[in-house]
Amino acid sequence: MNRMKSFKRRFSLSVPRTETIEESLTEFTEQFNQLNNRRIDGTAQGHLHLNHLGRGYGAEPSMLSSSEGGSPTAVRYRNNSRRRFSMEDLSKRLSLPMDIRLPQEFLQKLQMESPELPKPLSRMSRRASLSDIGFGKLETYIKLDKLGEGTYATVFKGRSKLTENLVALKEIRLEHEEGAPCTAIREVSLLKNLKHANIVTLHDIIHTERSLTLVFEYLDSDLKQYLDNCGNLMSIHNMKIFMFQLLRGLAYCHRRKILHRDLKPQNLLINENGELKLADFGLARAKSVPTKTYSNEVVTLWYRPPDVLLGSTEYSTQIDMWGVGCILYEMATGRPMFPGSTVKEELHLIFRLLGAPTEETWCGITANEEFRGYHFPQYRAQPLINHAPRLDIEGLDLLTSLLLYEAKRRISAEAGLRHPYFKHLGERVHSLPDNTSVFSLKEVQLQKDPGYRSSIFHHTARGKNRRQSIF
Amino acid sequence: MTCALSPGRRKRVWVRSPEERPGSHCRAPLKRNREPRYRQHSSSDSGVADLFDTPSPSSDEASPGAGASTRRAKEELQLELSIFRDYGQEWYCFQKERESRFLSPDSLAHQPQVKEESRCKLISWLIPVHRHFYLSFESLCLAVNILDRFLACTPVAADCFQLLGVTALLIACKQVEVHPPRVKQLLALCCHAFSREQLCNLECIILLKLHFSLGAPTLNFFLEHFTHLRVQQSQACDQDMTEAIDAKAMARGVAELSLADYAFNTYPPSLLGVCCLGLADRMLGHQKRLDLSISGYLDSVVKDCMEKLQLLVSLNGTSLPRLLPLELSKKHVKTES
Repeated sequence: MNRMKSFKRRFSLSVPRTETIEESLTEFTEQFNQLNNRRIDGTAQGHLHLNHLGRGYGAEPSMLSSSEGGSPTAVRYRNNSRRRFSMEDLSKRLSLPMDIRLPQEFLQKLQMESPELPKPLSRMSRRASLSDIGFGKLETYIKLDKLGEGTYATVFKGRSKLTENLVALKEIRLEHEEGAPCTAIREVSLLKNLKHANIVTLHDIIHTERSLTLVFEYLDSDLKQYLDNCGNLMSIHNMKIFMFQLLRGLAYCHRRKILHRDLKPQNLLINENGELKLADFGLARAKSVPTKTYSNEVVTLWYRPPDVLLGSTEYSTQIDMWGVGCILYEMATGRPMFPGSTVKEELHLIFRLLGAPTEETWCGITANEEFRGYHFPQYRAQPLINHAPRLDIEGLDLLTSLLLYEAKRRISAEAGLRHPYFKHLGERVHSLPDNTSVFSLKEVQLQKDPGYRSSIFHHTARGKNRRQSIF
Repeated sequence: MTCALSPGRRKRVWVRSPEERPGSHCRAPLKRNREPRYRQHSSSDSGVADLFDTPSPSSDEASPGAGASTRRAKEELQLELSIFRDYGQEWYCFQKERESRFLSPDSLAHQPQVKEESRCKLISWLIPVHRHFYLSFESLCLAVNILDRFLACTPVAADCFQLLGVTALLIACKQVEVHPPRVKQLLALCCHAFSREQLCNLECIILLKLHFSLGAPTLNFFLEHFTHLRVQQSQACDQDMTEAIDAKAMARGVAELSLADYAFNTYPPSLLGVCCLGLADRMLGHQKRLDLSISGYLDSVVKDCMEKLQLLVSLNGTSLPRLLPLELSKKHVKTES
């Protein structure tokens, strides 16, 4: 027991904070695969034959790695140097995060193998131990409550045995007529490359024969729930911080030519510190936004720009900016801006508030067949201040530049961050590294929301009713 | 439907162009190539020509009103430019930085059965397949990239090579298309030589082998980037814009040829992109040509790649017009003669 304690202590002392599990995993997987490939190349087993395809793919290693192929190079064993097996050595090499906790089995195994018999820690044994501690394995995560279910995926709250941290487990069934769901393929391939404080982190991918489980960091709440919890009356200061984080995450995506396409309060997750993260990249990068998922569930129209509602398939980063405007309005007023249930109703609500489009506000609209077919009344634009009185002048200006009919005139996420609306947050928020939260700056702090019911700040957001959208 | 026998016992039909009427043709099965190959002749391997029985669907679109498609293309370009101003440079840097990680110049080096010629045949078949489903060029580029990277790490038997081709296409489409082709349709194109289960299993294997790293920087991206850059620099003069659009369409045709040819696997997509555009300008006899130095490559490197592309084009003289929209292929013929 004592030994275990000291092991843990030394572990946490010598582990650098900055390295992520994934980085060390990547290296590990590379090596593992190379060895595997070499072994396979030697025998005929590894060859892809049709009869193998019929039987399944159970033997494949299923680990998360960002290595892109890589040519097989020889792996050298370090047999020559007889080194003492030290814990520090191990922990340094494993480079695990501070809060990691190893499962009982692993510790026992380590103790059995280790200090008495000084044997060289070969690269191979070191690598193998990483998979021993449970990455890429379903047993590593305990399933807790179910958070939501859809045709393609079920989301569970879970706990990692390694870190004791809560995680969200998104279980995607792979057995479908059309093979792996598009949403899963897009989400994994995109999220693997997105590392940002305002984008949900994908910790691990677990592949079993029938399903793919994505392990995400767990965030307690989402913006929709947050608004509910504070009685739809949010502090205007907090609103600004959330808005800034939303734009920050989005600007990062847009710089990589990744469009989110499905922004809505339910997809903006929020943790107890007030960190906001974009989630659900299932629709990202598709050329146009479907109105229905494959299971015929209706995708909400409330945050969709009028050009897309009118059938435009032109896709650009500006498609996301309309939704940002709608979300800003919703935070300021506590109600959705354009809650239409059909395309016609959605457009009607938009034009009634912002005025019917003219050649001036939307070049080429009068020639649009689709638009002419609807015969909307000639509404005049209403002053936004009457509808969102809690927004200050700068806020209204930002809202106006987000809700422009012509996509190319809408303000970009990048430019939005520089909008005077955010000047109270100071200069330093603009020079933060990608993976640093805005709350690392002492000048950025949440205030208590005026409408908040409970006396303790933000604690009730848990529970089964948590809405994490699946599609 | 006539089917041919492959070296194995399995009954297989190799290539069937999607536009073909059933029963009209019988294709040779994929044969193992045992003859030694000569590097310097490798550009001539592109057996694209015989696979194009009908012109591309885009040419049908263009025929009713010649001006309409150009006008639409110009409007699209205008919109794209407004976003390009904000993000174009960052997108370019991001993709350029990543491209080397997605290259697989020797993807066939360790393949016991799949050779250059079969790769060429497969991709030459995938080109009309992607047109048949009205898929984007981006999907095609991604599919070829997935195919090559998978080949680089897994030995594939000749009898499931075609399955690999359609599966790679399916994965690519699932990323970027609104309506990816149905598995049923893809299986039908392979004359039902494979089962749904086989395709789905292979899909999983590919995803795992490539660790879900599927979003490679594509030739399509660089063609678009350099076109945007060119239009932005020319300050939107109408004539320049027409030339830029034509050059891009022509370059896409050349790019498709280069995808099918293994010899071009060694070139990064950004280099191929700028060279395809440069060659297209030359072929169309444009006055104001794209400044090739914007690619950041040395003149000698660009020159070498362009010469190879030119050779490829001249070897595939008959098939290139079929890769182009109708108006452009007329122009092409005019300038040639």
